[in-house]
Amino acid sequence: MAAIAAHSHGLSLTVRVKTVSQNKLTEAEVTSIYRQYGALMLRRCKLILRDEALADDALQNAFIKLIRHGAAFREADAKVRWLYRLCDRVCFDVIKKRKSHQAKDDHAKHLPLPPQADPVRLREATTLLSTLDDKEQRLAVMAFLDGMSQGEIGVALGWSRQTVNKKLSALKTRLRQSRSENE
Amino acid sequence: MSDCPNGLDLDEWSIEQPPGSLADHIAGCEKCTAYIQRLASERAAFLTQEPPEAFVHRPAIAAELNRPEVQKRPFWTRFTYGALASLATAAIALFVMLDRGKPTQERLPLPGSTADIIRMKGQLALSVVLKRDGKQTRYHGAIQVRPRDEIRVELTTSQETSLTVGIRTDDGEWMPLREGFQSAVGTGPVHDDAIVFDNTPTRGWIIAGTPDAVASALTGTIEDSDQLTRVRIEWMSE
Repeated sequence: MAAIAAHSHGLSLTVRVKTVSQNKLTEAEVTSIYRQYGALMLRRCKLILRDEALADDALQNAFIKLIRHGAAFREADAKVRWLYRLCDRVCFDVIKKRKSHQAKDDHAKHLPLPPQADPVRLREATTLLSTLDDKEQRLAVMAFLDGMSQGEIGVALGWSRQTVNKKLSALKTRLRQSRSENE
Repeated sequence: MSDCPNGLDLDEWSIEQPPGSLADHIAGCEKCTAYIQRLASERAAFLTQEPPEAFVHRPAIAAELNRPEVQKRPFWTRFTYGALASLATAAIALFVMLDRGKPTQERLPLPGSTADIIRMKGQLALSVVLKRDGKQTRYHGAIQVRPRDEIRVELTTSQETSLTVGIRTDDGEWMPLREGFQSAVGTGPVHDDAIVFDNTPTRGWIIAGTPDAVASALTGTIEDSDQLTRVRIEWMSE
C-alpha cells in the first residue's frame, strides 16, 4: 500500500491505494500455479507455436507477466481461461515478431487434444497465424484447438453467430488455398 | 459434431474434477475420459521433467520474483487526488462548482485523433471532463493535459456489467480508478475525486472494460475489443 497525500480545494487528506507492486505474485503462489496449470499452459504454447524451444520460452514469459499482474489472476473466476488468454497473447507476440515463423511440429502432434479439436486445420492454421489479425488468431485457436462452438466463440469475441460463421468460412477458405498452394 | 464439451471446459474440469453434469458426461464418454487421462499423464511427466521448485529458480523467474517491489517513482506521486467527502463542506462546495460550470461538448483536435477513441459497440463509452483555469470541458476522444489540469472520468453503459477502469501510462504504470465494480445503466462518474496533474509529463491511456479484458490489456498492448474501451492522454507542455 502506498500513502498518497492529496490536496484539493485547500483540503488535504491521505488516501491509501493499491500500487503496482501489490499485483506481484509470491514464490509460493507461482509454485502452486505451475504445479496446477503449468502442463496445460506449456501444452497450449506447444500447440500454437509448434516449436518446443519457443514454447518453453513462451511459458517462461507468460509466468513473468503473471508474476507482475498476479492480482488480476487472483481475482479471475475461470483460471484456466485466464491463463490460456495470457499464453495465447504471448505466443501471438512471438509469432508476430518472427514474421517468417516456421512451425517445426515435431512434438505437438503427440500432445493430447480435446475431442472437439480439429487437428488438421489447427496444424494448418498455426502456419498462417502470422498473417492473421488478433481476433482471427483467437478465432482459429478457439475453433480448431479448443473446439468451441460458433455460439461460444461469438460470446467470447463479442461477435454474432453469423459473423463467426462468416469469419470462420473465410478462414477455412484461406486454409484450403494455402493447402492447394503447398501441394 | 459430437456432444462433447469444448477443450476449455474439459481443461478447467481436469484441475479440480468437480462433480456435476460435466463429470457425468466424461464418465460416460470414452473420448473425453481418454483425453482427461492423457492430460494427467502429461502433467505428471511435466512435473517430473522440471519440478516447480526448479522452475522458480530459473534466472528469469527468480529475477522477476526478487525484483524490488517499487523500482521507480510511484505513478501516484504524479497526481494528487481531490478531497474526499469526509469534510461535508468541501463536498458541497465541489458539487456546487461542478454544477455551475456545465461542461461543453468539445473534441480536442489531435493528429490521428479518430484512432484515439474506441468505444464498445453500443455498450460502453468513456468521456473525460477536463477542468482547466476554472473552465470545464467534456471530451469523448483524446485529451491533452498540462500541469494543474484536473480530470474526471465518466462512463456511459447500456447494460449492467462488472467493469474495471484505470489509467495505464506509456511507461507501464497502472493506476486503477475503480476495480471490479458493477456498472449501472446510464452515465456517471467513475471516481469521486479529481485527478490533478503535476509537472511530470504523463502520457498513456484511460481504459475501461471487463476485469479480464483490462487484465489482458495490462499484460500486452492495449487494443480495441468488444470488452474494452480507451481514451488517449497526451501531454501538452505549457
